[in-house]
Amino acid sequence: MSSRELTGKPVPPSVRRGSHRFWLRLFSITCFLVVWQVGSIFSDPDTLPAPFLVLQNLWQHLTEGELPESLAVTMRRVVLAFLLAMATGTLVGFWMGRSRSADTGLDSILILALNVPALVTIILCYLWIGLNEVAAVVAVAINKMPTVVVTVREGAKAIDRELLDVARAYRLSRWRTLRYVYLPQLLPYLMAAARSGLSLIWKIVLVVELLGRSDGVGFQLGVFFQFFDITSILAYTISFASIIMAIEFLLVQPLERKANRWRTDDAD
Amino acid sequence: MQIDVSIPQHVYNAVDAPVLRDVRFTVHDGEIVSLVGPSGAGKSTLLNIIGGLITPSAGSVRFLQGGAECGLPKTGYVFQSPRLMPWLTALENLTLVLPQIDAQAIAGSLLQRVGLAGSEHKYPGQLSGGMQRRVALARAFAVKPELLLMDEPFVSLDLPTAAQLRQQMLELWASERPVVLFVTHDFTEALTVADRVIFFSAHPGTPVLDIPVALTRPRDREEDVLQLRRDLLQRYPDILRGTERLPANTTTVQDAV
Repeated sequence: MSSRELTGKPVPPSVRRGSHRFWLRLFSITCFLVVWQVGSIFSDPDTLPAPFLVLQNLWQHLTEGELPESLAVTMRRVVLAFLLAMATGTLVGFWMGRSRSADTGLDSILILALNVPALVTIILCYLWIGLNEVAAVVAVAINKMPTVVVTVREGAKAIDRELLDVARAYRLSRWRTLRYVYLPQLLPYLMAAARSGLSLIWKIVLVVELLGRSDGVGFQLGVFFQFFDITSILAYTISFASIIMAIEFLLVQPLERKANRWRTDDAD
Repeated sequence: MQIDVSIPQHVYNAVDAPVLRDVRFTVHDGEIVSLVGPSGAGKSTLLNIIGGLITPSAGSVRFLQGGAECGLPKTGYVFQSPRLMPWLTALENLTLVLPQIDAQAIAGSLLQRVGLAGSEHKYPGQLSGGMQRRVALARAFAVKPELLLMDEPFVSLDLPTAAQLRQQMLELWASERPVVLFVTHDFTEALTVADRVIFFSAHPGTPVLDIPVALTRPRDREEDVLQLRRDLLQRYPDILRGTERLPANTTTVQDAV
């Protein structure tokens, strides 16, 4: 799925990013840690442990505890729910964006779906499907799907008619039209949906695990809650949040830059 | 290839006034036909119908090959705006419409022929307006069209650039000689390019005059074209406003030139 199908050598991207952005990020994180450290000095270490203590605890969980396993289990659920929500949401959103009758017919259901509380969906899925893995993943996906539909529908509505006419006039195959005319126009919307999806999904996955699973980060957080183990709760949160951040910086943002390569317009 | 256009009427929807009425003409093999008329004459609509983008509400467009009806011909379409895919490079915009294996070579040589060697890997946003139009022109010829539809392809360009592009278009045309339907509101341009000019009236669009242009190619001598223009305007003073209503049999002015 690269532009290599059309030309042998794609133009090398010349996206230059100032190094000051890196320092700005580092600065804000440092500030955050300093505030945390100062706060921990003025409070009981059981209520707000110092960053150093949390890191130590994190290391313990990583090396001798169940953290790697919990992370793996939770990540699997995040990925599955994400893929399920994106796939179904994109299909429905595209359909609603391109067909007026589908849009009118499904709109009220969409509004309903957007407003059902996450907790209700989760409980109903567990009751109807059972206390199992399928119910957990489906419950998360159902929570995310309506927002994907809304975003992709906007994208499908904004498709340029004139460029579609070009595809029709030159009798492009269905695949080429989809790949080279529709997809590039939908991409910014898909990216937006994926981004907000990732952050929403991992939050809901934890709730789903807390309510009806006996493994994963959410389940472990529940256990720590029983024991009032704030240090472990923070350690788990940091570990999971850093994975999500890594996905954002190492996967989502480079993909976005690649997709936006053509926008670097320096017309003469 | 021959094209029989027969559209008694075309309306967008039942409540609107018709856009086209009594549009009947035949285009012969290798002909360049200009469609000239004021805005609102439905020329672009007619082009979209012939290109298969719109279905006429009545009548049909038939394509004949050696007397027998054939399917839609291979078509190149140059729109009023370049309409390039902004996320594809100049070269990719051409290979997009070429399904064959040697698409790269064909696309590369065509870009070279319209003077865009070295800009193959630039995105449309990095090209000037004139260069984008050249890519659009190259794209139309890349498919080796049997039918070339052009909707004011040189509008809003400065005069030298437009003249240069017209020249390149005629050179490309000369090697394949597709049937060309060329919409313009520029009478002089029509006389420079076409073998035949069909004038349209507006609201609804109807052909009111169909004249052959009996000038030899290449039409390098500008004064010949301008002389013909003067003669025609003298004979049909209101033709450019599309108000001239002529009986169907006065469709030739060969004796006037």
